[in-house]
Amino acid sequence: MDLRASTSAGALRALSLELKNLQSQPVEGFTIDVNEDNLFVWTVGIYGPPTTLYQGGYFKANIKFPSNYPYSPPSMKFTSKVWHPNVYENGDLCISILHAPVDDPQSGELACERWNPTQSVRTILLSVISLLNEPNTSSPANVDASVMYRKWKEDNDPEYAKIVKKQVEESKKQALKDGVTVPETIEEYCVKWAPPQQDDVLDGIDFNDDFGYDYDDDDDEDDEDECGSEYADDDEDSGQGEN
Amino acid sequence: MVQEKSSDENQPASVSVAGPAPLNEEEIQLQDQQLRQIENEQKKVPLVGEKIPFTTLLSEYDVANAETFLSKATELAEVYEHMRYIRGDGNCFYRAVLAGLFDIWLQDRPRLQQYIGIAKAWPEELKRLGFPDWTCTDFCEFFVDFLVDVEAGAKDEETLWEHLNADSCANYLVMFFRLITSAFLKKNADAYAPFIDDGLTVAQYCENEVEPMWKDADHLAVAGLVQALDTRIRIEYMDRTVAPNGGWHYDIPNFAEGQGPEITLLYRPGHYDLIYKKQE
Repeated sequence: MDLRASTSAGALRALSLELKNLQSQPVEGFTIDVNEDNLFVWTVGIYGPPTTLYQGGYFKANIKFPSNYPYSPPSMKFTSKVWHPNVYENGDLCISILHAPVDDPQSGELACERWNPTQSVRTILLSVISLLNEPNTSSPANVDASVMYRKWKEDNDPEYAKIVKKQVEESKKQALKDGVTVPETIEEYCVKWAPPQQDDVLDGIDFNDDFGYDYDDDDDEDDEDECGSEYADDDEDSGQGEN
Repeated sequence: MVQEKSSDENQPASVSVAGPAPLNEEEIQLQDQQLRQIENEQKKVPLVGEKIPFTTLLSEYDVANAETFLSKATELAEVYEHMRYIRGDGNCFYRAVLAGLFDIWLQDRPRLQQYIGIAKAWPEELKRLGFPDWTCTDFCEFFVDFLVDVEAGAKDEETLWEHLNADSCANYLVMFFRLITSAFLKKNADAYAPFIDDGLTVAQYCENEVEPMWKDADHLAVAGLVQALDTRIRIEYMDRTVAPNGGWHYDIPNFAEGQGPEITLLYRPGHYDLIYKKQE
């Protein structure tokens, strides 16, 4: 066997392990659909978390993995329409965990959680769920959505909520087409399986607070907040997103 | 104070250039493209080269352009007999140590068994330090299984070196080194925090500089890995600085005269290769 030709063998190994792991211990709020012939593209369905604007929604996205996964991050693109400060008009999701670390120490994203091989699809999905509820408006991919979100949050301007709710309604057609019943209550939303026993010691450690088995519903704060604080003094607009 | 050109540094906060803009998708794509080009260049050199005479190094320099380097290389050639070139892909330090250990593992069975013991202790330690359980365990298991295979003689020497040159396997082993380097630094965060700039914590530094692949190892990472593995290395420095006779070298950690290093690396600005001393 010519080992040198098998650059993607490591990626395949990692991906099939992850898939197996996610199938046996699913992340709540997601469906995952993978064509076994091509492990490098996954289709995920995201249920809008109950008690949020997104409740009842069913948003689909593709996750594409590079051949040198897990050393380089995958990319994620929504195929459903998603009006959100951190989603580009073409559906590309912009979130620090999906960006490779950069060498530029001046980059404001330095202290945020960037991709590294200890991350996984699981940690990405958990970040996405928390991002849905808590957009990172300091580095918006969709500036209009970001401004609208702020107006909604700060001045109760209804426009943002109106658009999101319309998209939730639209997404229900897709759910119907896929034969998917979207959970509407917390009870339905939570996946029924017993989490594996883990050491209590782990709970006391805060520098990695979004590792795999953290399923508390109300545990929404994570790296995105840190991202935001990095930009605290760059108040309005980062200039990103329009080009 | 700085009245006449109140340019960049003294911007009032209301001007929107205050913070560095994160990359947009186009810039990220351009960056990816450039990275791929660099990667293709790098791939012309094997991950770990064959063992070749140290004097090969001399042919890289000529008197006219690089006299200091040439004379240093010539001095080193008195002491060192062989070398292996390591690919300059940001993993060279980790990979050079890995290749150096391979030589030891193949020749010194009791030492190999000690290393298996060291490797087996790390998964628990990583867990205790709060590393993502599932992904990290995988890298650890891969490394331990690999060493156990070496010990069982399941792979002959040639196959082992092939593995060290195959991305799919070798990078898993490198990743294990990165994890335990990071873990060692995090575990001893108080001792290392003063060496980190930019107001980063040790944990943030590790997540940005140590855990991601293709990030060069700086002196912290060097110290971290050597101690995480409980090994001894010597680094011969070859740069343009004025050095005492015989050049600069650093021993990590500081070991007793009689003991000697397990592995010796050659450092040239930005890059590490593996070198071997002449047998006495």
